[in-house]
Amino acid sequence: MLPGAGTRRRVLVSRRWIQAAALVAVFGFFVMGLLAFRTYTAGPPVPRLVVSESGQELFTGRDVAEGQKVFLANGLMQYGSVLGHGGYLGPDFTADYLRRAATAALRAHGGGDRAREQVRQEFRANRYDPRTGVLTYTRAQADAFTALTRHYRGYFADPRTDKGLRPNAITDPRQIHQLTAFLSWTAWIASAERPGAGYSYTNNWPAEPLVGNAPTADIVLWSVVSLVALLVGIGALFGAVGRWGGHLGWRGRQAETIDFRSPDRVALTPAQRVTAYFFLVVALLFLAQALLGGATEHYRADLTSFFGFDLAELLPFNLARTWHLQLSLFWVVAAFLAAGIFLAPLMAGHEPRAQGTLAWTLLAALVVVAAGSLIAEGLSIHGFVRPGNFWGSQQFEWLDLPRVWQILLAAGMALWAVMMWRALRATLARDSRGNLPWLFFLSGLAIPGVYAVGLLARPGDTFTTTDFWRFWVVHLWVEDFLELFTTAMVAYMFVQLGVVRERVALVVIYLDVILYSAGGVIGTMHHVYFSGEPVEHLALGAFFSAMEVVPLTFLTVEAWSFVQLGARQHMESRTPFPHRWAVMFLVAVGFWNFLGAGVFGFLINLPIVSYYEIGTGLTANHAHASMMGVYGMLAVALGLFTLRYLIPADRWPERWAKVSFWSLNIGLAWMCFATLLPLGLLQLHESVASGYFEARSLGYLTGDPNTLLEWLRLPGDALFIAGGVLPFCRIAWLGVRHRGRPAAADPATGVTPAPRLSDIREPVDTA
Amino acid sequence: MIFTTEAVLAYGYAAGLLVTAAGLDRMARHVGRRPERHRIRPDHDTRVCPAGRTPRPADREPHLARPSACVACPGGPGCARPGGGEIVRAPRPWPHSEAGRFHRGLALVLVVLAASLTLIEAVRRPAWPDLALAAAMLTAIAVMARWLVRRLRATPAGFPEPGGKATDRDRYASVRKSRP
Repeated sequence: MLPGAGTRRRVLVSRRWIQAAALVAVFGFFVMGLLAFRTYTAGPPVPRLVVSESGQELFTGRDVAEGQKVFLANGLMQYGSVLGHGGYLGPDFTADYLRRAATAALRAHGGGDRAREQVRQEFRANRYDPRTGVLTYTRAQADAFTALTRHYRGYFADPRTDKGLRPNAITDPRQIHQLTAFLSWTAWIASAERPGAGYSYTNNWPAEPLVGNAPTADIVLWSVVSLVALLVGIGALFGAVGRWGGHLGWRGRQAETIDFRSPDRVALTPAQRVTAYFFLVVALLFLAQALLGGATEHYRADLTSFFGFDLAELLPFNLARTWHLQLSLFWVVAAFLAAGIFLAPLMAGHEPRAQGTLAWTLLAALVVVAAGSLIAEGLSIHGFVRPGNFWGSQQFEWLDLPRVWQILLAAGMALWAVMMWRALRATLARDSRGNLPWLFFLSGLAIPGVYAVGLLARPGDTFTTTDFWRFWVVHLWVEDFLELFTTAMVAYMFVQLGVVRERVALVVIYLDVILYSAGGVIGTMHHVYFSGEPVEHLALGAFFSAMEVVPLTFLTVEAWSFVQLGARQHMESRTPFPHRWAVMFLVAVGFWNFLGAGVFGFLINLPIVSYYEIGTGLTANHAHASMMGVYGMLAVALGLFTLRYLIPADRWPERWAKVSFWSLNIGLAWMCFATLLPLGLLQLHESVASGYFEARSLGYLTGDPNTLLEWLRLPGDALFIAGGVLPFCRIAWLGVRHRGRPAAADPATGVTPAPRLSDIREPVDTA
Repeated sequence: MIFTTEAVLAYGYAAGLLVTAAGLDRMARHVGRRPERHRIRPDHDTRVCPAGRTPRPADREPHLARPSACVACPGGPGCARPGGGEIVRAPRPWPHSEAGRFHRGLALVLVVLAASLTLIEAVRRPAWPDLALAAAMLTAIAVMARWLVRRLRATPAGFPEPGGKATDRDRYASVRKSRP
């Protein structure tokens, strides 16, 4: 019992677990705090003014900020990229500007070896004066800026749609000037050397021989160190499992022999019944996301027409991709929130009055935020909204939704946290803060908390700082905190089913916190190797993100032990195990966690690989295999678990669940192995052999072998959508049609008792 | 080189897919049939360890054999952990059987993909040296596909029916005193 905790239940695990988890997490966030400080103090400067050698003003710092807003508002980060971050169809505009400017300068200097050396020196010399805030471009650089302003005017004001952009995307000369200023600034930080260093602000990224950009010694060194760290980490892991394996993971013996309750015997609380509508919304958003994914893929296979129809007039590539990414977060998060609503009363033993009403409110809020933000993004990309508008424009990749919708989404998740607190209040009051209900609640509370950190990325701020905070959401929130919450949730699901003992589940969660905090928190920095951060971000990011593979390996190995524990119970129960396909989706999560997040992630993680690879097909390969393979499959697993109790046993579409399971997995495997992986490998080869600029060009992407590989994805995508997503939609629809058996609320208090999912048949045998 | 670069890349990738498929099949074997360190003798409800003995379970950790038994055993270091010999019986069929089926199913998908790539490349570049490579590749794919299909058929899902009784009921596993 905790000191002074009154009647609280005592903590079920050793306090060392709690201390270790707290220590590792505090260390991780302490280092992140230091890195945040360094981001602001050692990031590249945005000059107050950029002038030519003759003193003529070229652009201002304000133009750079406004240009970034124009870039984002027009969805260009979902079309191409800057500093390697963004979409994969258009060019990387940093590399694009750098190559074109250097080529123009080379031409201006008359070509030849001397001119090459002169261009290299001009681009590498840092002529920024920190006292005055003025950056001076050489004459060749200034002329290149003027020439590139004309080039981008022609590029973005093109009335045709054969690049995947809407016609006449940006025609305002002022916006073109600002946009070019922004791109010019990114190219400047990519080539000008840091004061006191022999490499640029972006660690010499992108590879561009014309300006002398090649991998730095740090890039090579930290690649080697992180590789060694990985090998040592995995060795240590297996050593630890061998030594202390009996005390780690899902091992241990379940006490009782149990019978699973038939779903027909499980009476649900009002909020639990509302989750039927949540999962229908989840399924429809999933369908929309998959269809939009098909559309973006079609652009890569045939850029000029969608089976004879000019799709880019209405749904240009960047809008389709914006929605595709945005919806992937929406449906997965909505599924997690719904599963939380379903599980909370099981944990508490009852549901408080009006929880159902709150669930309806949350669902309505999510629908409004999803629809409102998607519409706003569409209006922004079609040019109806002013860049940087609070209500209608933001569009950082993955943080696409405009700020007002971003705030509302964070508020919606905070409402959900309040719901969790209402449901669990009594349980929390009588339980140790180190036990499962508190871990479930605190990990849930972190969901709105960490997501809200993304609000620190504002469209007009320096790109380097916005990227730093953006990856707190993209990596830390998605890959660490959602992972932690789902581990707690899945653990509790199986504690409720009676197949895992609470103490064993707790150990797994603490282990999860320790392992993910050790690698995942600081490992977030592997996304910002080349965003203008100082070299310590690269060093720490490389080292700790390599260590992330260790927990992924461990959890994959452990997944089988956990399933094994469950298996014992299935055989001994006299009633059928109701969650065959939920468990199989969890098996798939283990598989894709290892392959998609572990193998495909590590494939692109080393700084030296990332240097040539960032923003190419291998990133897409990792993103699809890990986002859909892990979070998507997990969301579907949670959906099937919940829907099992919402649909009467005799109406449960076992066959559709099976079809969905196989189709989603085969479709995803086909997607990765038929197209994304080989394309990525070929593109990486092209990047190293010919150059990053060439590997990102439309000419290369739409070349013969690439197009063939893109078309080869069609069968897998079709199976994924028709055989995987549609059956899941049908199951979700059945959930809404039946909505489970309602439990009766206490007329005096309004409290509804929560159902039990299993019954203990043989409580204890002391023999 | 007598083969075109594209053909070598395409068939090389197809061969890589076959190797990955073989790896998945191996994984399926691993997850579907976990190695058993102690044999169960249902007739006597006892276990026989790899050294041929019948160790008793430790008091605090019923899934471990008593350390004293393993320390004294010449084969102990090879099969026991510091806390004692681990008593792990082969898991019952489901979900390992179906997880194995899942891995074998995906392995077969990769073989189909390898076949598709090989055929497409053969149609695209129908020059004879490349076609010889394609023929060799298709032969390997056919052999692999046949092998995998047979193994997939031999891997039933094995989802348990209610009330199904296991023949090798494990007295150490199913009923034990709970420690909170």
